[in-house]
Amino acid sequence: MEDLIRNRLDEGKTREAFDLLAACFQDRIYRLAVAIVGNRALAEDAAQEALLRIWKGLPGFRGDSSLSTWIYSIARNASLTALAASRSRAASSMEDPAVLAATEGHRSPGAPARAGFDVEAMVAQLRPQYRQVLRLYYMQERSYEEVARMLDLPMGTVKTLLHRAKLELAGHLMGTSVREV
Amino acid sequence: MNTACSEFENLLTVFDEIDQSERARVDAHVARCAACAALAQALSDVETALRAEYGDVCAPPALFGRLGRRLSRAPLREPSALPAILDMVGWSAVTFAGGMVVWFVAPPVSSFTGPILYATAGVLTLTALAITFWALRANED
Repeated sequence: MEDLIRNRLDEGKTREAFDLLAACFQDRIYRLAVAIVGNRALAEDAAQEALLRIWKGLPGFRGDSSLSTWIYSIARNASLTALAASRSRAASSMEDPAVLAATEGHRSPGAPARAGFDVEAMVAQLRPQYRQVLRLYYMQERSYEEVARMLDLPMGTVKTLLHRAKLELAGHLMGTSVREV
Repeated sequence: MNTACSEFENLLTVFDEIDQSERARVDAHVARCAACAALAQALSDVETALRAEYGDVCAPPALFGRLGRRLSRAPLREPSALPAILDMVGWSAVTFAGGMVVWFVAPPVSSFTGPILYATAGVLTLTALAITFWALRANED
């Protein structure tokens, strides 16, 4: 598909290239945004912003890196900008917990419970790298390679982060610390 | 959880990916270690919950529709003509330099070869110009 998009670009058919690109990458861009910002409404805005930046930058894309690397880089930056803006808004709202919950996906975890526990609330408590890798891994059909490419991390790092994140979640579920990581 | 269990702790987080013999070893350990059995159960619950929470996340259908309205207000930047112009200047310089080399290596021996060299340089320059304008027009389409 990347070759087809590049061919359209080489032929100067930018709109056609963009339509193909959006159809091919919009799910992955949205998932990357969800993984980074945590909140799906905010992720939708970030994904839209990323696609808009891609649209604006497409005529100037010279192919120095692969198309997917370029797209993921824009999507990461748009998501991080959206996350920073939401945090800034939350801070200006006197750290209102309701605002935080709406913008960052934080929820009050309460006591861990076996039945019907709120896994997203638990994930939201993890450190940023853990939650990004964890969310993306399960959204991207548990492919280490794809997660590594999307987050621009070495595959070994992805595996390590995922391992630690799972242990931390399991520890939280058991109400204990499984291991200091 | 004691330190002797740390190996099994690592294997439990990737239980789906390990081979049959290792699974059997992990199962045997879990059967006699209460702490690892609890961890195995917690990891299994976490795995199930994570798959349910994130397994089918897709971009909302409205995403592209809403984007379309924003795209119509964000016209594309036309590619700069500068690279094509620099190409033209570069090729003209190469043509000129080639002509000069030919001139010094094999100077015109008669009044007939001079015009041929000038005509060749002129044709090459016009070709470079034509390619440049063709490239510019292709970018505009």
